[in-house]
Amino acid sequence: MDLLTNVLQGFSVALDSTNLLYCFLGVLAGTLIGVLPGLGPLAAIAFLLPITFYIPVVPSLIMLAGIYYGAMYGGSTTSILVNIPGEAASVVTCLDGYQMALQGRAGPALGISAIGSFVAGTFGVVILMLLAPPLARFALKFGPAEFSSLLVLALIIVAYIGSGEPVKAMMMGALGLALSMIGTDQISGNPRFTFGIWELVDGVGVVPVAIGVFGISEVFLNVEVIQQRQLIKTTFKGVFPSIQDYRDSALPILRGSLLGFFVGILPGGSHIISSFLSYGVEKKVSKHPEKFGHGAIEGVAGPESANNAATSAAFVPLLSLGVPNNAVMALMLGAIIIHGVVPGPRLISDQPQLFWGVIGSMYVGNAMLLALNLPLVGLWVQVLRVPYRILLPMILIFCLVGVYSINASLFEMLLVIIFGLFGYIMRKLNYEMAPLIMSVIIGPMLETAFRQSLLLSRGSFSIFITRPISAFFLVISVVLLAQTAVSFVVKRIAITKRQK
Amino acid sequence: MTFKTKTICFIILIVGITLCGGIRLTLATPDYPEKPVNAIIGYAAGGAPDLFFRPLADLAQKHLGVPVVILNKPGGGGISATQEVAKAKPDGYTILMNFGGGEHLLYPHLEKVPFDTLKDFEPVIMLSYYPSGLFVREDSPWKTLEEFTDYAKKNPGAVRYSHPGTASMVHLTAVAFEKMAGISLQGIPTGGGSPAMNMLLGRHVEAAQLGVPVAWPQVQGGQVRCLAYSLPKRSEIYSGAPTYAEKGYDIRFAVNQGIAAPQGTPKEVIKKLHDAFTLAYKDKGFQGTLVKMGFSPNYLNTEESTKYIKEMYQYYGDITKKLGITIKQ
Repeated sequence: MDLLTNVLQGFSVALDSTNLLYCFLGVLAGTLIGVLPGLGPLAAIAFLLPITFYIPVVPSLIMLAGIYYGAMYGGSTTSILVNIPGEAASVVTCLDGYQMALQGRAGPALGISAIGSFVAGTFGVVILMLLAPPLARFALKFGPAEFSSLLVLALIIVAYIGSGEPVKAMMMGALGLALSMIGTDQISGNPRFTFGIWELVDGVGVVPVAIGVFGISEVFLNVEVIQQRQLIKTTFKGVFPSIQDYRDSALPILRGSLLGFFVGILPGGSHIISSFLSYGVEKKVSKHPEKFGHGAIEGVAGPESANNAATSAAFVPLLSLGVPNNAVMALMLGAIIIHGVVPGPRLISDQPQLFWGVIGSMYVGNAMLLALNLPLVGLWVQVLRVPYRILLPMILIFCLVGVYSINASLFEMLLVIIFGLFGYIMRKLNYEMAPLIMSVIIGPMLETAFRQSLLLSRGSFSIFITRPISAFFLVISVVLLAQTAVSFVVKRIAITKRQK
Repeated sequence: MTFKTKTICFIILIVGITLCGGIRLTLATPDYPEKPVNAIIGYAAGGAPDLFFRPLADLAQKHLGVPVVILNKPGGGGISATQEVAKAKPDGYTILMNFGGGEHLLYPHLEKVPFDTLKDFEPVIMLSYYPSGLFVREDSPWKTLEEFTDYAKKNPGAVRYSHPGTASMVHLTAVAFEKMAGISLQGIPTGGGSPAMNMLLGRHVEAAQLGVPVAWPQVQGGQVRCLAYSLPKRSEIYSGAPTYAEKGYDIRFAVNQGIAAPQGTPKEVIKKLHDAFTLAYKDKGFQGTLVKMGFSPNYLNTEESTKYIKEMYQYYGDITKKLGITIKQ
């Protein structure tokens, strides 16, 4: 019954008119930030943090949390409509979401991502509420060895993500890994491949690469073709998902929620990785994997659910241990400290108002987001009616401004343009860009975790096998690879036989 | 047509004269400040330096009479921003916040940097600092620094510790301690204070070297213990823990929060900046922020700051040379 009183207390805090207002402001800002390419929740929360100095801690945290999970709702919008990820976690949503839009199904794609986000977000909050402290302690067991094995698995999934030639997908994946080597060597502290440019010391950022190869190159590609989007007109037949869509999406949403939550609580785990993993899992378990990349609704429902569950999950270590597990949570920690609240294992008992209030607000916020985003679907679809000669320059401006707004760096603007040109050429040659982005994100994480593991084990590779969680991921990786190899050989044999 | 051209020429002439006059005027009257002051921070918005300097800038602009605009220019561990301010016009409208960190005092002794800490800057004020500390879990067998050192001496390389990043002030504190105590530890860089703490709490390492403010909430929460921290004297805000100095190790590594202007900034301008930031610093609300952030007060005026920076720069130069601290190639 204790739980019930706590939950009721949480709701009474969340439904207080001031907190309700901040929650609404947060989710609204989050949605908009998600929609704007370049500007992600990390940058937005960093900008808004100083404002929270002047308001109490509970509404501050409610608002900042709202921005974080709100951005996950908004992030899919531009992915689906114009093939530009509004947020790094929505890169994979481009693959099938945009294809759905081309087939006139932008409405159902947007709808299912809002509904999936809602289900997953709410699921995440329920688990957070019931199990936060034990889960946080479990998550700490996840060290560098476990994390590297998980990332190896994620990297194998990169090869699955492409819908074109696997070889080309792997080439892009390898190129992404090479790009991720640029910058300071995390272990020795030496700059690598920076050519004396101080701006490169921190590496090539994910945002400039993603906005370049998706956003800018998309604009270039579209400039070439003369208005030929009559396909879009059929959109208005069904703005909302059909019964069949719901049936197809139910399991992916469930799996995405579980997977997203799991990845979300891990140290260093992020909503971005969770969306990649979810896509890979959906394609793997699907009865018709060939549909992926050509507008499969499962490829939108799964990842969009996963990234939302991961945002709720990220609060687990912060609120129950006082240790943030990713960069966004580190900012939240700053917001807590600046208000004089001591973060740590005693936070839940010392500040029940804060803990249960934030949880209550997350239920409310997710409901608000659903109510906000479903009616917006109709409006967003209208965006596609805007003529290209107006839409394209606007996209270009939003992309460039979005990137500049993060670090006020002209160098990064240059990077965006370079990667835009690069993306344009490569896409003309039928290379896919999602594996590239995935590798750029996973590369530095994998390298650091891998080398940390070896430092911990004093150079012995056995650390990856003797630790059970790590071994588990490696076994799955090997099975996946073996299965692919076998099916490849079998197919080849069948083809040669037929030819004979 | 001719009439139009004439008019345009006339307007350009008038505007030109006004502009020149305006410029002459600004040069003639040293009425600093008459426009917003750009305060550059080499770290991202929302980070600890940002959380510290933003409220300070808010308070200072009341005393200065013009806005103090915080500009975050993260990159290269603060080096990009430092370089930018070093090259800025010394007119008092561009100043460097968070002056006195590892990138200014320690790193230049290890790696070539695109600025000279002593020659390119005029320190304006020093406000506070925080030390680096050695932490173990509460259930760890080592209750004191002596017990820790004894064990490490008998088992070279057996003790693993996580730290925020190679060549950071915090990391090199541990390296200096290793050399002075004659022990060998295995350091694991993690890329930040929180990941390093995660590794300690998750039992992946035996110890952690962390900025004391990052770890202090966990000390208060009874999860970890501080075996020593690197201030010359005990500070009351880190109560209960000893310093390296009282254990016989002269380690005074600290990350300072100060403000500097580019070399050549007029004395009167520096004085005005110093006075405004001093008043801001003494504000009751800001003193509260200081305590919440876990930083130790270390107010020094312009003269003292200049002396302090010179001394500390020298100290790090000497100690890195004496102990042979380098970045491993």
